[in-house]
Amino acid sequence: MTKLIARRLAISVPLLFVVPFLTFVMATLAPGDPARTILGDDFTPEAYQALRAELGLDKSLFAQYADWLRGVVQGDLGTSPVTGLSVSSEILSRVGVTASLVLLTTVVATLIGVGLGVVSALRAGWLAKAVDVISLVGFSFPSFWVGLVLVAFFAVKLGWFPATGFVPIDISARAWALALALPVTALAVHAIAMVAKQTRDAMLDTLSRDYILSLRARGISERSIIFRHALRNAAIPVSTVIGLVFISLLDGTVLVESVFAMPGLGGLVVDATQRHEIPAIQGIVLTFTVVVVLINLLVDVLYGWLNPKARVS
Amino acid sequence: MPAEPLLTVTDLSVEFESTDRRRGRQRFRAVDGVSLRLERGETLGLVGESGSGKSTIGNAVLGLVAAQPGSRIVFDGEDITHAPPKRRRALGSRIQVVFQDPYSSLNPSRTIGQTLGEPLRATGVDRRETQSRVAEVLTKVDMAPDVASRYPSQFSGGQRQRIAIARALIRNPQLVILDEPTSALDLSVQAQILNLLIALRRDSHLAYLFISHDIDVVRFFSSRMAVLRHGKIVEQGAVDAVIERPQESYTRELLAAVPVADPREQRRRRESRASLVTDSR
Ligand SMILES: Nc1ncnc2c1ncn2[C@@H]1O[C@H](COP(=O)(O)OP(=O)(O)OP(=O)(O)O)[C@@H](O)[C@H]1O
Ligand SMILES: [Mg+2]
Repeated sequence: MTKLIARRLAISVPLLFVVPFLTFVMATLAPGDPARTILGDDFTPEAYQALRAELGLDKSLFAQYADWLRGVVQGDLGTSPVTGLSVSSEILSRVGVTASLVLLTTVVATLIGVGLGVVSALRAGWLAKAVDVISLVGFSFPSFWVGLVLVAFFAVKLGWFPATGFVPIDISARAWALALALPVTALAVHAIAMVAKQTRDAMLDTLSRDYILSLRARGISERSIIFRHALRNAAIPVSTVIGLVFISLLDGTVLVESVFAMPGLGGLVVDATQRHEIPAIQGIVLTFTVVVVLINLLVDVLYGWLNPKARVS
Repeated sequence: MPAEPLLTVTDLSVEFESTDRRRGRQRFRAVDGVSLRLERGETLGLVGESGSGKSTIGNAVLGLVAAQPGSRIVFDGEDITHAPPKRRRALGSRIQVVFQDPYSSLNPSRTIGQTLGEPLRATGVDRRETQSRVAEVLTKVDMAPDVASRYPSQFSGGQRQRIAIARALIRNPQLVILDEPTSALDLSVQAQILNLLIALRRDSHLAYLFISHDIDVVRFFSSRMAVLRHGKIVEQGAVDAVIERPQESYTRELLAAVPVADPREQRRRRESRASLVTDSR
């Protein structure tokens, strides 16, 4: 197991360099100029050149990237040329919003998705159809659109939930939950669809196996067959999908945060891109890359724990 | 007074619902008025083409599918046609099954020891006793006792089938339903497993309900056989009588179809199987 983790980490480390570098190249080559953004419309060529030199924009692409990398290794993600704030403190102040959204949605999607998937695998009738309908909705409508519909109905028309904003959990757990209810629902519809579908397929496949039949032939109760014998094997493909769901939430959250005007990392990405603030973009991309690597690692560990075949090889 | 048969199946019918897109839901009889008798220590071969209802008969005896009203399955003097789960759990020590597909017959996330020991542990046998009986039954099927700590993925199809046989035997059953136990295996492995089953039958006084679509294997393995077609028995009797003097054209077709068209190849296969049989024991 330790070997598996070590090998996975070895494969992942290059990602931490490659992904930010590609982002850096694309962000730098994109039209736009932070110096112009700062100076506004009215400036002298001398002031413009001086500012570019100060920001390091006159150096070559590689030199700029090397500067950034040197900072990262020392724990410094740089400062925003526009606001003058440190990128790491900006990320820290916003990460709670995005983490709340993504983690809560993953938990909700796992509980509801696995539950629906298992139940619909066991009962053919209307519940299986209900899962089909949820899947269809989840796969057909983008989260931000679901979010807009939810806001229009539950926030604006009924007034049950706030339409926008975020309250940290340590200030008020109730307000935190109310603020998250709609955005989490918007994100969760698609996630539930993915998890439920995979769970049902995996469960049906597992339950059709002969070792399950031979348990049934021995009069073993259905509950024990499901919970003690089938679920663990069915959980193998499901854990992979939950990992994918989590990762897809990282970009799903960008639009949903802007629909609900939540001060999260998604909003920061949008602002930073519009203002051409490369250090902020880089910092967030690096953060997301680290999270993705960690999640994949977690899925691998879980996979190895569930599946002895993977553990051996 | 002659001892009563181990298993008597009388007028067994099983219906399934088929969902045909054009005709909608329809019930059809997969097994239709089948009667069978199996003596203690005897092997009854059940042959028939694919879909003729062989597995369904086995599954009805195991309680995996429900029999129609009017059907009667009597095991060792007890009517088990509609035995409730509690009764089934008790019967589990006396009626066992080995299925066809060695790759789906073992739980991949449990060690061989866990899979074999589970039925014992579930009935209150302690850990030490379980371990020694697992080792004992593994030796019976010609596997090393230390495989107990390994997982199914580490074994070949033939080895897995031996393990599935061990699981069937661990509680010393009287009847084992063998649902095409060798048809997923290579020819040489097939012969080894059949030999093993014959040796076990001799040592433990087992009765087999041996399901196969290969009349050739059934002839070699069983004393009596029943020929099944479209859920009905068309012929039943001593193996030699049925094979030497088939009364039904269907049985003749089955005989002719086995298992390759070329008679030279057929003879070669039969001889190679026979030689393996005499070699190994
Ligand atoms: N659980 C089920 N639900 C619906 N139909 C079934 C079910 N099990 C079997 N059948 C149908 O009943 C018929 C008999 O099936 P069965 O599996 O008993 O055949 P078989 O003789 O064992 O065939 P094979 O040699 O292919 O294993 C087939 O038409 C099959 O499709
Ligand atoms: Mg069959």
